[in-house]
Amino acid sequence: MLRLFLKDLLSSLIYNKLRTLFALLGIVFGVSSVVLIVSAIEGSNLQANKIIKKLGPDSVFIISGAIGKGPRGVTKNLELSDVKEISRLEGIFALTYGVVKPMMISNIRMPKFSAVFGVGEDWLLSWDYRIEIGRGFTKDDFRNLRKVAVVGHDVSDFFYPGQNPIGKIILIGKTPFKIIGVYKKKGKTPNGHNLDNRVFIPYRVFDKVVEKTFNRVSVIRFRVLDLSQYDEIVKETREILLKNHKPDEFTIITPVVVKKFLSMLSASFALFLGIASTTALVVGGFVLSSIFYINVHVRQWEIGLRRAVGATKKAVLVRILLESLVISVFAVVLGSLIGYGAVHYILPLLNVPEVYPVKAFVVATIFSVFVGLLAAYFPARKASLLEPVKALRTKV
Amino acid sequence: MALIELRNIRKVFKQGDLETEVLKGIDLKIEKGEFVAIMGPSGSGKSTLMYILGCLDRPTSGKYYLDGKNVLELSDDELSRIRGKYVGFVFQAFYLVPYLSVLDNVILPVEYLDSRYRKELFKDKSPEEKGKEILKRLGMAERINFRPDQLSGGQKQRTAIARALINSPEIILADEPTGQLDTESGRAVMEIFTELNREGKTIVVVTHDPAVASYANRIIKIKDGRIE
Repeated sequence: MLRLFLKDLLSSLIYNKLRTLFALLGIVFGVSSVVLIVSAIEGSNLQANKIIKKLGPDSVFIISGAIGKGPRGVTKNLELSDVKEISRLEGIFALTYGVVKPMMISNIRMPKFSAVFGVGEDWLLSWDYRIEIGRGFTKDDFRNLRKVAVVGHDVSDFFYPGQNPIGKIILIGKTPFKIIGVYKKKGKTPNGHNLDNRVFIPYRVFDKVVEKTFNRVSVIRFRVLDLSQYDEIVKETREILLKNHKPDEFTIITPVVVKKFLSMLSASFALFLGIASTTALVVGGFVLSSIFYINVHVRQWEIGLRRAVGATKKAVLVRILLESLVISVFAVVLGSLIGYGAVHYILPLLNVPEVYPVKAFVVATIFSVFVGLLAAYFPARKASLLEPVKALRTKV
Repeated sequence: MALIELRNIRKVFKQGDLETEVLKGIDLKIEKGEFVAIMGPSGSGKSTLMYILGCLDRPTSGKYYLDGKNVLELSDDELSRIRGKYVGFVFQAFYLVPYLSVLDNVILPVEYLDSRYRKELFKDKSPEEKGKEILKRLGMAERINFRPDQLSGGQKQRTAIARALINSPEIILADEPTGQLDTESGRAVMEIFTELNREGKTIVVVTHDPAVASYANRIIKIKDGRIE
């Protein structure tokens, strides 16, 4: 019996190929854009989490100036005295600070544009730069104002390709520095800054050789021992800073802030896609609905016949809803394939990692079935309420 | 007790303010096993009468006893069940579903029987087997997998008759069953009805054609909504 029922149902969809196709296409576009948007949002979240991981979930990062206002790292509102105050907080470690200047460095023969950082002790530890060759800074390096540098691979490979760079010289300004260490490759920041084209030298040396700092710093960073104390420590840090600074002179960056900022960035993108996919689904729903209205109209006599051979109103209603359901399910399959295909081609263009979440398929299925049933409900109801005799008379 | 008993059946169609009384008080009894022709000119109300007999339409007033049941008291769903169980329709325009094969058209009504009755009715033979058997008997054995548009008019009507028989109904109601057929095919169709009647089926044919009506045992003439 089920066999006859399914055969009856599917035959009608196959027989009316064009109608089925148009109804299908309407929903397919909606489904594929839903799959795309859910994947895109998943991808963005994944990226946000990656950034937070890179930043360190236990880290507190204070930058000079307000976020989003001008280039970061250039202003130097923070002071060494702030660092000293913060160092009194309990439950923190790897407290460090730094200033940066993008500038030319060279090995006499070749110049290279690079970012030179004057850093406090523990900088490498705090930022998780791992030494690959040579060594990191020692207390003596800082105390004795040694002209030593820890550099990234892009720097060492540029000046001394194929050679051991340890002990070799680079010029920062006119001052020669000895390379004491090279850190492991870190790649790029999500914003595209090259983390391997950096030169770190002791803060005091930076002050003497590169640029006067007047005891000011651009960034302060430390890590928290016990994450449960995190919020408390951030609060105390803010209080310390507010003693000497106006609120807009600094920004405390925490994973929560990062997440907020990133979601602000992706919000416009999500909104655009959201509107697009909703529109596509709504349009698809209307297309489906009108196709079913036309179809029910054309098939009036068939509905009349089914009533004459014993179909109840409910049976007619259910049948037309099922026709729509079958179309919706096909649309989910087709639309998901297209949607996931779009993920492959579009997300990389938007700098969003390529992900294929099952969630997208689930959401698309729910949407599609909902739209399919809703769109077909009104024509189906109309069909079920047709008077059988009148319906039969529509065929001459 | 008569299989069908109509008492003072009236049917009024309303169109805006305009009321047309199509049936003006019909009293009619049809016994089980009769072969009845309802005759009348077009617009006489004979088709409306047939649809009321088939429980496909409700009269405006009056009483209708089918197999002793007062069917006008039943709900729409119950009437649908009654149609599936008691009545087989044969129409002038065949009404074969274009996307189903001949056999699937024939067993279509089985889809709508309530499941308990269906099990009872097809406990010895599956609907497919029974459908094939009926089609074979009506000379359609070689056409069971054809689509309706591959059939001649006479073949279409034989398919429709097979469909009317699939649920073993008490009554066959035919509305101008030869109206779209040539004389030869029309005669063949009427002979099928005669044979079915001989086997005990109650047959009601609505027609304006005296030649068709001549196959019946009883002719009921209807004019202007009344039995003459």
